[in-house]
Amino acid sequence: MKPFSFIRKFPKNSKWILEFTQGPHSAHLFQVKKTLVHKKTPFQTVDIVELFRYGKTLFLDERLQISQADEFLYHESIVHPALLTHPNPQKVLIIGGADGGTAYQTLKHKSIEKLFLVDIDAQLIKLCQKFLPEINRGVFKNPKLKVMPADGRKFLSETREKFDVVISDLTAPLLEPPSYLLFTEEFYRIVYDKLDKQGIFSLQADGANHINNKTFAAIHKTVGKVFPIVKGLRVFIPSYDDCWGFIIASKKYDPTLLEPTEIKTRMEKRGLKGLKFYDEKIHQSLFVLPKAIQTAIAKQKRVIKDNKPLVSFE
Amino acid sequence: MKKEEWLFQVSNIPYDPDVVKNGLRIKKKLYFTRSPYQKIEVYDTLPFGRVLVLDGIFQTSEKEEFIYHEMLVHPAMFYCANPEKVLIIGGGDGGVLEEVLKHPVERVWMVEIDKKVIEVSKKYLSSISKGAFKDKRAKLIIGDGVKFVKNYQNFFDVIILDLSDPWGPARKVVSLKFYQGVKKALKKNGIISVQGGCLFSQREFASLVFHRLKRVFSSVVIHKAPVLLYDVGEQNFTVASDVNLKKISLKQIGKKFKKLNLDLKYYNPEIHFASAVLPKYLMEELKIK
Repeated sequence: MKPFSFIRKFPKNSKWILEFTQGPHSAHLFQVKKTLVHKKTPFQTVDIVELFRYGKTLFLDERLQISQADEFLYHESIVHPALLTHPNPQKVLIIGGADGGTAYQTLKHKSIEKLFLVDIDAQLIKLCQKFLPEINRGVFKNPKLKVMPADGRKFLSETREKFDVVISDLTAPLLEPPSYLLFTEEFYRIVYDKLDKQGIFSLQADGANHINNKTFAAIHKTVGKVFPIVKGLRVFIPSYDDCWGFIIASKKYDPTLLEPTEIKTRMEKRGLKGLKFYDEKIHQSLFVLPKAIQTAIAKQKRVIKDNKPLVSFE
Repeated sequence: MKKEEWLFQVSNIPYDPDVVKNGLRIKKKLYFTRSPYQKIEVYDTLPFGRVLVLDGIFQTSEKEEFIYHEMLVHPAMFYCANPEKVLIIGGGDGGVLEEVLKHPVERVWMVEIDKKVIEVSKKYLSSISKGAFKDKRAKLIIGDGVKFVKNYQNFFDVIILDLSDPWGPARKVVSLKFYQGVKKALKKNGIISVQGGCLFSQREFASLVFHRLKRVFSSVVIHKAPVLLYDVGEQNFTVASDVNLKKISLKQIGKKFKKLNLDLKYYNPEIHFASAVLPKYLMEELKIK
């Protein structure tokens, strides 16, 4: 990655990475302790570096994806609210999620019998396995996990499997690699068809702060074209310096109606332990969205289509 | 990227390991001066509109001030049964004053040590104070808040500390002695609200505020809200009282909220309760049981 050094006050030989956050007009400078990986795969540029504040951190095409210090916030939020809304999830699919953190959190639920992880970039999965063991914690050796390097949309269209829960753990919608085709109404219909009658779909859905929330609102709107129940939640992720949006779409169960006592019972039954962020006390509070975000969702008219895609940083 | 287009937050603060810097794209530098207390700057920025910078640290912005000011003011004002007399210490930009005056209060005292911050804010950041300084209920005092509270006993319903981080002019105002002084100036059921730093990058500060308040008041609650302008992390607003704050129900707050019908953009009863749910890892980090 391009090191950054125009500020004279920086100590000599210190190395910094510049990342644009919350849009093109604000940025963060991270001081680098050590560079571990810099590699171009057929799909993207992978950088794994050690940052002073966040520990080991994965960048894809120079965009920060996940850091050792706060990955639990992201991974617990994309997995547990959705999985606990389902009364008995046994078969789960993760699209993306090469770092393994989402798979690790999913397999904490004892009810899971089979977990598929479909990520387009085989080399990225290998690099994460080797360099980010603090995030995937050996999950790639778990016999319940089946890893398939493939295009998520193609896999899902062709598979004969039905899933209880599908988790979309993708990078922002981009043209190259073509992840934008995993953010469209057509794709969400494929997901719907491959979900069981009480199936649940969980997605990372971009920043949801009051200045930048267009992508979040558009995904919310598009998913709402397909699923009867759609609920947004937000979690503050320090390394993104942003309130991150997640969406739970569901055929039958409403995640916001899940009572704390029921969550507690399910957590105990599934042997769900050792969480740092999520619990029955916090569940409901995650779904409380400020007025500005509710308004953005209500006003959003854009439905994302294959021929009218949404691309980040466009 | 040209150098002059960007402003990066320079942090020389003791709790910050100085390893992440926030930067904003700026349109124009509007103002610069050195007061007897600090360096004061105002910039026009692309993401946040006009931004006030004190000693190199971003303080408040036109586009986002409402989250910070509403969350520092309204949880305390809604916990309080009937706030009539309110004291603000700090708050030179006038944003807290503006929020407090939305309530049917009798009188608000605002004690700010740096006259220059008020002057600059009135001139360049009038969209934050929105004429609050002209309100007849507001009494502005240029002076030291630590000394000011010593003159009062059993007097205020709510005291709000809107101070920059505790280095520079705000050093004294995190001391136990000061909190004891504040308590004396408060009525028996009075409430104090304190800006307590970022919950990620300034945990020692947040923990210090919580535990010092806990030694003085029987009930202490942390509310949090995202303020993207600040150094990484959710902003901490700590409210304390001898009234059991946790016993005040959503229904009570909701009733009062409906009755007052204030013009607010962020705070509401649902946010009030959701913002007070602290995740386990933070409770452990801050050593809160």
